[in-house]
Formats: sequence, structure tokens, C-alpha cells
Amino acid sequence: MMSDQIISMVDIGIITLDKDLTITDCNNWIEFRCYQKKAEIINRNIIEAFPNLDKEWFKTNCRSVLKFGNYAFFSQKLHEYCIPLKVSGKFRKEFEYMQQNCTLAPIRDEKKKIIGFFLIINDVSDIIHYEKKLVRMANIDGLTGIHNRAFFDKRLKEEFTRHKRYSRIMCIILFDIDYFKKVNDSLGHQYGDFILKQLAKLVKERIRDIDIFARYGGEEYVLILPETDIKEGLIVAESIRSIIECHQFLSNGKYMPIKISLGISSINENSENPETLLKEADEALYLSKKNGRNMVSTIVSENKR
Amino acid sequence: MAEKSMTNFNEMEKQILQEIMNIAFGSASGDLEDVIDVSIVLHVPEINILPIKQLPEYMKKSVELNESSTVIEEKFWGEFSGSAILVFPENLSSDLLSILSGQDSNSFDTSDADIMEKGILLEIGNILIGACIGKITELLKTVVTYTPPQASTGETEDFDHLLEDYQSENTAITLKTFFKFKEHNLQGNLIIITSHDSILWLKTALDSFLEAYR
Repeated sequence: MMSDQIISMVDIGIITLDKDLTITDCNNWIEFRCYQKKAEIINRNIIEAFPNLDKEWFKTNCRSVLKFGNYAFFSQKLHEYCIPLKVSGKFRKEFEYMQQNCTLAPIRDEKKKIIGFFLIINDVSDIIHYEKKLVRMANIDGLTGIHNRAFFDKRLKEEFTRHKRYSRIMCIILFDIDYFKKVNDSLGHQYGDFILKQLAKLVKERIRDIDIFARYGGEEYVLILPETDIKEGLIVAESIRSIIECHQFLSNGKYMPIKISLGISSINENSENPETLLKEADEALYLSKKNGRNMVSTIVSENKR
Repeated sequence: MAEKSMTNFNEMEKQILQEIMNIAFGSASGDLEDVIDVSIVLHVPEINILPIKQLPEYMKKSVELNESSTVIEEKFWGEFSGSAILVFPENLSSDLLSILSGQDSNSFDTSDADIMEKGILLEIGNILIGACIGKITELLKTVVTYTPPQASTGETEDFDHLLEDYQSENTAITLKTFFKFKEHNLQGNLIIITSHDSILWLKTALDSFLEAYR
């Protein structure tokens, strides 16, 4: 049969099932990638053969296809995979099982009566791999390895909305390196880059996993501290200031003492939008600069009680 | 001109069409309860026959679209072919998402929440559309195949894009229904648009449907 030759050759997985979800057949593609032999899965209930399918979403869609004759689509985004299958070589480190987009559709007899269904499996591991890589590239600052400005802007908006909605506390800290131009001018840009990277590393070690840390601009950094009030925020800011002041930034025999100025602001009932929160932190940072640098400042806005 | 008159429905045909839709949607809502395990009310569909070019205007007027709406579109083809467009007006609560998906909403990473919500709406939308189209085609004794559902937002460009595949000089039949999940605060609109070729086929299918009762 021509269709048999095609089915055994195509670059998609095909499994056929009867109305009781018993596997009646599968193509070579499945056999090559499955952890079980073909003989071991044929004539077995698919949920028994692959217990990970013992889930409402799968059973609901099976019922729907049998009853309405529609197609069911299982996206990688929601389920990652339907059947645990081997991942091809280079993505093995990244995924435990092949990432799949799957389709479940009815099989009808000559009288158009539904007699079973078939599951089609598309391998999307490579697409997901590159998608993840792109997302990483779009969100990470190339030099320091921490988040970039675009990611920060997006997350600030999200965190702000979340904290406003549930009346929660939250702080942001904006800081920059004092006299950074002098560092570059006297010890070179390579040393300057070393400072930017080293500083990011030191701050990262000090903060929690839930905190969002990003490079805001040239030598400017920003931190979102969720579930943190201004008092706790000030402690964090002061400890970061002190860590940087005490650290010996030594690279290839070059050394220069590094200090930072910080500004902190916190969400309150009068905070209108993420921009005001950022503006208050920026004004506080300016205050630190004005009052002699290497310090933490906060502004008490007129609206605040 | 001759073409145009062929795609016009007389009163009798409109009534049969309405009747078929009533039966189809009635049985779809019953079966949906068995399938998704959530009670759902499907209202009697409102049938409109209008030129394609009036569709965007009609849709905007009859469906409350806003930026946070999620629009699920799925094409179906066979003797009866067209598009089904499902509009969920608002963001869904995480409780409802976990009921619909059978997954714990806490397992959703906040940064992925939008993607998860879209994925769940795609799956639930696919079943709703499948139920309605499935029942209509069953009554008209035909079978259709489907494209995977696509999700977009209620923004105008996104919505206009859905109609690009239809030629503007053709006629469209729109079936608009309002559905509501009983114990949950979720409702939406389903609009089915058929293509030109389907209308000609539909007229013959309506005739044979009526024939059975003569």
C-alpha cells in the first residue's frame, strides 16, 4: 500500500487508537524514539502504556473528539509533551523528553461513523530551544549577565500592578558607580568592564532569588525588592553599599577603590504608576550624589503620611 | 447577478437554518457538560446573512471587544467550511484556569501566566467550537476537518486580520451565540462565518434536511 510507505517515512509520529483508547498501531518514527518496544505498547490502553497521560486534559479531549468528531490540539506551551520520547542528540542536555505539539483527530468508517482516533506528534524541541535562547538574549545584558533594561521595564510594570492589586509592599533601589568616568579614563575600558561585571556579581550574591536585578544604563543598576518595606529595603541598600566599598576590585594588577550612590523608593497608597516609583528612586539617588556620594538616600514625598 | 440570487436565502430556508442551529446548539451544550465536566449554557444562536464587507462593523458592534479580550479562531473545511471565532471578553481568574485545565494554578510561573492562559483558552475554545461545528455537520450529514486554533487579542488590527481570507464581494452567514459557564463567571461569544461555496452547498443540504420531514 502506498499510504503505508508514506506513513513509515514521514517525519512525524503517528499512533492509532480504537474508541477504548487501546493502541492499535504506530509508525516507525514512534518506534525509533520510544523507550518501549512497539510490541510492548500495541494492544495496550494508551494511558496504561504512558501513565503521564492519566490527566483530565487528555481524557477530556479524547471524550470531545469521540463525541464531536473535532480535532484536539495539545501545545508544547501547555503540556511540553504527550508521549515521553527520546530527545535528539544536541537537545538532550536541555530537555528530559522531546518537546511536542500534538494533534488528536477522529478516524471514521465509510459511513462516517467514528471508530477510533489517531495521535500525531510533531517534534518541536529545536524550535523551543531557539525560542528560549532568543528570550534569554532579549532579556539579559550581554556584558554583566544580569537582566537588561527592557526586562526590568516589563517586570516593574507587572510587579507594580501585582503589589497594588493586593496592597502589598515593595521597594526599588537605583544606584550607580561614583566617578565611573575616572575609572575608565585612568585604568582603561577593560578594567571598567571588569568593574561592571564584578559589581553585578557581588550584588547578585547578596540579594534573594525573588528580587529582580538589572543593568539600567551604562554604570547604573536597579533592583526590585518585592514584599519588602522601606525599612528592610534601606538595610539591603546599605549592605550593598558597604559590600562594594569594602571589596578590592583587583584585576591584572590594576586596582581602584569603587564606591556607589543609592536611591530607594517604596510603593504606597499614593503611588500612581511604576514611573513615579522610579522617579522617586531617581530623585533619591540624586540626593545621595548631592550630599557627598557613597551613601543611601530616600525622599519622603509630600503625599506620604 | 444570477450568482447573487443563488446565495440569497428565502424565508423558508432561513427558518430551517435557524431550526438546525437550535437543535445543534441544544445538543452541543448537553454533550459539552459530559465532556468538560462543567455546566455550560449555550444560547439560541442569532443568524445573520450579510455581505462580507459589513462583517468587521457587525463584529465590533455585536461583540464587546476590548484590549484584554482573547479571540480564538479556528478554520474548518469540507462541504461546509468557514471560520469559527470565539471571544472571551476579560482576563480569566486563576481559579477558573485551574478548573478548566485540571492543573494547579500555583504551578504556573508568573512570567508564563499569559502563555498558560492563552494555551488553556485555546484548548477549551477548541472543544467549544468542535462541539458546535460538530453538531451542525452531524445534522447536515457531513464531516469537516479543522486547522489548529489561533489566539489573538481584541485589538482592531488583529481582528481585521481574521477576515482577510474572505473575499469582500461574497456573502457571509454569521451565527452568533452567547455562552456562559454556569457556576463560574465566564462567558463569551461564538461567531461562525461560512464561505461563499458553503452557502451554495448549505442550500442543498437544507433541502435534503427538509426532504426527510416531507
